[in-house]
Amino acid sequence: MNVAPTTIKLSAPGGVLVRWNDGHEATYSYAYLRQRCPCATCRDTPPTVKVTPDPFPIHGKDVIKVTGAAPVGHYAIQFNFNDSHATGIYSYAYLREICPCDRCRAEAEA
Amino acid sequence: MGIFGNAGGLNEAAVLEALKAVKDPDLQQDVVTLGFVKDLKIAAGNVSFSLQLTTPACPVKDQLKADAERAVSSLPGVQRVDVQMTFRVTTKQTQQARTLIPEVRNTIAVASGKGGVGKSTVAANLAVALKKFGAKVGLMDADVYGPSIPILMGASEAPQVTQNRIIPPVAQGVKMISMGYFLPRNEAVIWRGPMLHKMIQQFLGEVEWGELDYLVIDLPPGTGDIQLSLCQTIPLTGAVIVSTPQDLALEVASKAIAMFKKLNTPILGVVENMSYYVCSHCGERDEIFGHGGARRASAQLGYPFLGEIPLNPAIRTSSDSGHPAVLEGENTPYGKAFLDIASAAAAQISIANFNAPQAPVIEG
Repeated sequence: MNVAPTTIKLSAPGGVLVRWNDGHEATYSYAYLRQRCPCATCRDTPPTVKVTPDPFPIHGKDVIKVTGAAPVGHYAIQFNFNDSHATGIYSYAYLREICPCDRCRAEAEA
Repeated sequence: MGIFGNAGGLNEAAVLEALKAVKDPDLQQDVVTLGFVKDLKIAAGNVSFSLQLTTPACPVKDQLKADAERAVSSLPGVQRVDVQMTFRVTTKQTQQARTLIPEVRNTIAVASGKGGVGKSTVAANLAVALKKFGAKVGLMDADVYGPSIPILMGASEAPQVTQNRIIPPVAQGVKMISMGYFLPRNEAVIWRGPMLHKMIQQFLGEVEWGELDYLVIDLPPGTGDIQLSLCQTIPLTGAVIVSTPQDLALEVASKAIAMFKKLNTPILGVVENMSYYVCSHCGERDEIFGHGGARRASAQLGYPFLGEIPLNPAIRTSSDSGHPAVLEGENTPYGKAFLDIASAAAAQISIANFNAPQAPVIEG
C-alpha cells in the first residue's frame, strides 16, 4: 500500500499535524512547510518567511500561517498560505520525505 | 403466511446463511457480506431475491446467478428460486471530484506511452461496450492535438452551448465531448500547459454529463500536461493502458504506468492491441508485432491483463465510418474481444472502488 495521509489538521498546536496510514504522525510548523514549498518559483528562489512577530505589526508582514488546504487527485495536497502563495503541490511522497519528526530527520541525515 | 408455510424452518436467516457460500471471485467475499442480496421474499416454498452487482458488465454474472440458485434450492422446503440480476455501479468519488462532476461515478483514463497504438479506438469501443451492457456512459476526448472521437463515434454535430453549459452530443447512446467539435477542419490546437489545464477543467465541469456510471477519457500519448492536469483535477478511478505487443511500444507504455503509479492512480490493466492478424485469404495467423508481449509485461509488473484485440481491417473501416466495431457484437472475434475487455475493465473498476484509498480528512 502507498503511504498516504489519513488526517491533516491545519491548526494543530505548533502547525499542521499529519497522520499517516501507517500510524506515523508529526507536526510540521508553518514556516517549515512554506520554506519547503515544492513549486517551481520557490525551488528557484527560496521564499523569505516571517517566523517571529514584528514589534510593530502594522509595518511588517504577518507571521506565516497555513490558511487552507485541498487534496490534489490521489497523490498530493495543496496548501494555501497567508502570504497568498498556493502553487505548491506537496505529493504525499514528498510530504513524508520532509517529515520533521526526530526519527525521520535522523534517517534522512544518515 | 401460516405456520404450515414455514416448512422446514425456511426463513430469511436460513436463505442468507446458504447464500454466504456464494463468493464473488473478484471481490473475494460472499454476496451477503458484500450486501448484494436485495428484496428477499419467501412465500411458501418460493424464494425470490435480487443480486445487485457492482457492474452490468460483470464477467461472472451467470456463474453468480447459478451459484446462488443452487445454494438456495439445496435448502429443505424450497420449491422454486427466482433470482433477479440487477446492478448499481459503485463509486469512490471524493469531495474534489464531486464539485466538478457530481453525478459521475467512475472516471477511466485510456492511456498509452506511444502514439498510434489504438487508444482512441479502444476508448470508443470500451465506452460503447459498457453502454451495451446497460451502463450510463460518457466519453471525453482529452486528446486536443489529434481529436478522433467525433469520427470514431460517427457524431460530427457540434455540441450546443447554453449559458456556459455544454450539452454533449450523443452517439451510440454515449455522451461525448471533444476538442474536434470546437475547431474548424484543418485547424490545429497549438497550446501551452495552462490552456490545456483549463480545457480539462471545462470538459469536466462545464459539460452536462448528468448521471454516468462510467466516464471514459481518451488521453493523448505520453506523460505530459494533459495527463498531469487530469490526475490533479480529479482523482481518477483508474487507467487502462493500451499497447501493441512489440518491445518498443511496451517500453514506452511502462513510462505511462510509472507516471500513474507516481500519481497514485490505480492501473486497471493492460490491453494488447494489434495482437495478431488473420489473413482473409488463407486464414493463416500472422503475428505482425509479435504476440503476447503485453500479457507478459503486465504479468511481470503485476497488473491485470484485460485482453487482446486482433488486427483486422474491419476495425479500421468501422472506425473510419463512425460505427465502433464492438457494435457487431459477439459474432466477430474483434467484437467479442472488445466486449470481454470491457467486462474485465469493469470488474477491475469494482475492485479498485473496493480497495480505493480514502482521501485524507482535512480539518481546519
